[in-house]
Amino acid sequence: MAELWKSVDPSKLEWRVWSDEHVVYDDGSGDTHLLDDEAAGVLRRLCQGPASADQLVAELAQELEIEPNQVLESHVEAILKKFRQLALIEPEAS
Amino acid sequence: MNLSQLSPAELAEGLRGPGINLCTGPFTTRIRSPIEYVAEGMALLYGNNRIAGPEEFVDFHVAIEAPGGIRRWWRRQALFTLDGTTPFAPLPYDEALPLLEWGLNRAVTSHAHTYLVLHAGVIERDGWVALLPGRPGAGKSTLCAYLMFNGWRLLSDELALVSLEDGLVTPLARPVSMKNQSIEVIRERVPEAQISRVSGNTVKGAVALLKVEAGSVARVAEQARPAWVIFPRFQPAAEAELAPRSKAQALLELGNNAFNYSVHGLRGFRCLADLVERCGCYDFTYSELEEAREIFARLAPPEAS
Repeated sequence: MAELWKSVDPSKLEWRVWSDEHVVYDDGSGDTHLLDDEAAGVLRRLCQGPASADQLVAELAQELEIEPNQVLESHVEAILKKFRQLALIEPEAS
Repeated sequence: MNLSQLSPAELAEGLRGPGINLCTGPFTTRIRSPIEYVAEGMALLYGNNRIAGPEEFVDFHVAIEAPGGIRRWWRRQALFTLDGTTPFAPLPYDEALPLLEWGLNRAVTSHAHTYLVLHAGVIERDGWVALLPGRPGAGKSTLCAYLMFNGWRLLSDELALVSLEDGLVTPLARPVSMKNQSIEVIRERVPEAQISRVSGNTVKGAVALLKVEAGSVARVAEQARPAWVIFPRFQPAAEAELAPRSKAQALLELGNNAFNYSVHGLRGFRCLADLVERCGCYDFTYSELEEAREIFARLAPPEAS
């Protein structure tokens, strides 16, 4: 079964948005992050509930009105990897 | 009373004895020092500053003294103490005055957590503040020094004290720390500038301190609201250019330039986010101060832009 990811406590995240730049402050870690539209979209999605990488790719493809493809998968994987490094997401306990 | 009302002998005696309670912006610092160079420097640089009475509250107790031991006679040194601690290694005797300024900065950045403290120059015109954040060498002190004599009030060349409550900036109006070529640049362009003697071989190179013009010290109790965040960068031979910077990037850079951002947590983030939200954010490259003056004179406050 594909691994599910969830954001850290969404109530700890404070957002500010200026055009296509999103800044999120994590009150749990004290870190401030600058995200582009897609990364911000993924994190906001994970704030709503857990999702696998495949689900995120499918949802992003639907939003962009394209078929899921390798490039999108790689992109989502890269975003998730970065978020794990920044401790913005964690695996959903099974 | 102001420091200039003390005779040189009274000032020296006060510094050697119980200390002089110097008021700089919202802080009162009791300064003790038997070093003549410190007394001379304070007489030159702080003449317009208020001296608090002995019964008034003191925020910081500092001293600049010669450390004991053989150094007392051989290659004399100056040691800074802050509330009984020694945050810096001793420095050569002729660096005592810059050491005092660095020490006063340390006092503010390590204790003044009622503010969000940014590493930034701060100048004001018509009630609107320009914050000039930047790392050492970016040219912010030189810019502050020149603009202080050209229509702008100086709040600080180094430390922006931003209120976490309302975003207003509180002035410090302490001497401008000038380094290397900027000392001669200001001497040439501002003949009336009062500049301390140069300490020639500090870790920052040659350093001299510039007295803040009287109007800025007289208005030290007046807070002002930021309208512009401008990241200066001195670049030899460059034509002056003011280029917009994204608010998100400005926020992150300000966070990196803050001394106590992490101390304030979410309040610090909200303070910075509100600040960049209200301000025009720019990168500013320059080489000629006169070009800088012209560009800064054309800055429009937020309502009019």
